[in-house]
Amino acid sequence: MIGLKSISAVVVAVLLVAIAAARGAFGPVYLASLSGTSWFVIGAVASVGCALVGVGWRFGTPSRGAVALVDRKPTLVEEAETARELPVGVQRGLVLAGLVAIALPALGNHAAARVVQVPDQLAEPSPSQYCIPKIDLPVITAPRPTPKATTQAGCALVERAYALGYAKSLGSCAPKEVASPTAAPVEKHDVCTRRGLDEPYLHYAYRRLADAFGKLGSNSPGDAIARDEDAIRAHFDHADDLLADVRHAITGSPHASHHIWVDLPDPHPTTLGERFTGIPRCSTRFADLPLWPEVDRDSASLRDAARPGEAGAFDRSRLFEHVLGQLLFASRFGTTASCNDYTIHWGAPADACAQLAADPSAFLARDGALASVRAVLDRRRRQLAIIALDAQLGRKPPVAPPPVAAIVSLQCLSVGTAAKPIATTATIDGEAIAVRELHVAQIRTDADGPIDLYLALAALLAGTDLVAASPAGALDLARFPLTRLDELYDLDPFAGARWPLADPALVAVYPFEHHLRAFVDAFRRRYLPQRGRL
Amino acid sequence: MKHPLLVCLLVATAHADRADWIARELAAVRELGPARRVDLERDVYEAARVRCHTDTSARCFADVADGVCHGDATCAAAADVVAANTRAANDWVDEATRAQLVRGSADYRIALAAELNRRFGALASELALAGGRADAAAIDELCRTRDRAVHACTGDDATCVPSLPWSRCVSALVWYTGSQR
Repeated sequence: MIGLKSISAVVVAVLLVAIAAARGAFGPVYLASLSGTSWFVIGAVASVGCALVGVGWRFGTPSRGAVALVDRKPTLVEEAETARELPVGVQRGLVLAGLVAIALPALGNHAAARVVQVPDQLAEPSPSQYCIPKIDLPVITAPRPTPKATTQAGCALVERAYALGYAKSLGSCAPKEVASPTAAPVEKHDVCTRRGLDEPYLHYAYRRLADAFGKLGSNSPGDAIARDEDAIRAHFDHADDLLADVRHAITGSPHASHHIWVDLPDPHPTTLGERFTGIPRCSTRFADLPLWPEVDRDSASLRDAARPGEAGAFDRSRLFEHVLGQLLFASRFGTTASCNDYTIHWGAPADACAQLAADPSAFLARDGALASVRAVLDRRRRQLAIIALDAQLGRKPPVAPPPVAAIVSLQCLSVGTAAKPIATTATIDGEAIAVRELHVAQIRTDADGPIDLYLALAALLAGTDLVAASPAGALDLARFPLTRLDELYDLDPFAGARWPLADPALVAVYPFEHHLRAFVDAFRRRYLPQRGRL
Repeated sequence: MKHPLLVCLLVATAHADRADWIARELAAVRELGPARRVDLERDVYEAARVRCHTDTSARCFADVADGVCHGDATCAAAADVVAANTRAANDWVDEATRAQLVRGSADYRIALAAELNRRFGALASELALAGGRADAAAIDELCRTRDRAVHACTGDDATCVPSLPWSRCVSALVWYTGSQR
């Protein structure tokens, strides 16, 4: 019977020595290369390890279990009091040999040197706590190769002619100037505010204290506290404005409010289903407008039910909505206005703007427009107050909001009697708001009628001029029809050449996109700079 | 225009007229053959350069087409297409590309014709993708309805055909499809 501890000591020692041998730790060259420091570290690590293992191993105590041969088979025997054990010194020596074998390849010369340097590194000041002076090493840069001028494509003949004296200059074939080397960017040095290597701790503590009050060095903490007190007092004085600004942001109050009153019936009366599901968003309604108004001529029943006896009212309403959509919201013509900022008030009285000028608040409240106008004015007022607060505190203020005229506007279009545009102002909450009014004789949905409406709405919204139609002309399409029809490209209906729109054959091939794009683009160039959003 | 029936009648008649023009001009371009097409293109270009240098009206180009053909009906029908394409050339090919053609080729006219042909081909591929055959009705339908969609082209994308008037769209397609075997 042999004790389990003796067997384990032999197995551990043989296993670890075999691993070390397999890794070449017992090679004569390797052993000869190890420095004295390495041998010392290996010995120390193995000794400490052996001592720690010995605490649990208890070398002096005999094993409780043993392995015996029963019928020539190894059998584990418990409570074996007569088991034979290796001497204590031999067991300890075997474990120590195993640990040395493991430490040999792990603690080479490099690792031993790093272990020895640890105390020195611990004593060095940490860069996260101290300002460490930076040592600038000289930088060696390779000289840049000078770019060679190359012949441009297609310039060989010109260069040859210039060389022979047939041309006075190379023109666009002249060699491009080589870009001058850019100056090296100025190196930015960060100011180190950590503790200096030779800075007394009390001075460093004072600096941190002053820094905490926002003033570094020049002002005393007392001044800094007084200044912070003033800032807090100013914030309290502007608490209403700050809270209102947050409320506007959270509740999503409008960024601008533009209203158009028109004495035409609503082409989209709210249905029973829409009362529950909500009306379609304006962006959906104006998302895919046809190029030229496709007025529904078959909606007689809808027309009659809405306003009996007024034929064409719905066609005219749809035409109005279409033209307004093309002018302001159609994305095919570039930058658009935000349709959420615009409200069309259908079925307005013919003298809507006169009523508006007489009593603005009452008129707007009756039509449900007062709340949005007031919200926009209030939002702007709060933004101005916050800018004043920033100026008072010496902070960089945000961008100033647009003027009132850019974010609130009121317009009226009346159909019946033609008159020149009228511009007045209405005062709401102490702010003067622009009111524009236009009366047109009629809205025609056929032939060049839409052009009249385009011009009228452009005049109402942006103050553009109304252009009269030029005398009728004709296209002789009997010969060279394609070339002759190309003339339509030059005949701008918005500049007066409207007669082609009276001919269905020409309307079918009319370059609407070309002319509309030019007109809407010119309109938006004039109108959009007049408008803004908060 | 108050009578819807009259409007429908006029529109239907105009539609038939347009299809007739296109069919006649398509047949004329095919009938000319490659050699005469090249000659006609050159003659119209040269005459327009001289006569319509200052007067760029459509009438001037029509007169040029008339003057080139001397009463030959087939030639006149094809010259109508060439004149319309010549007048539209500067809108088809942007200024930067034209400057490149001037610098990079020995004969600007031939280079411009090749560039135009490339762009007409892109338009013809739209016709093919729309499922239309290369006949008068399909060309008329495509060119009449094409502008309903937005054609947002960047300056350097030669394969993107921008919005086109009906006359320029038809003349480009008639010339391209009529020139194919």
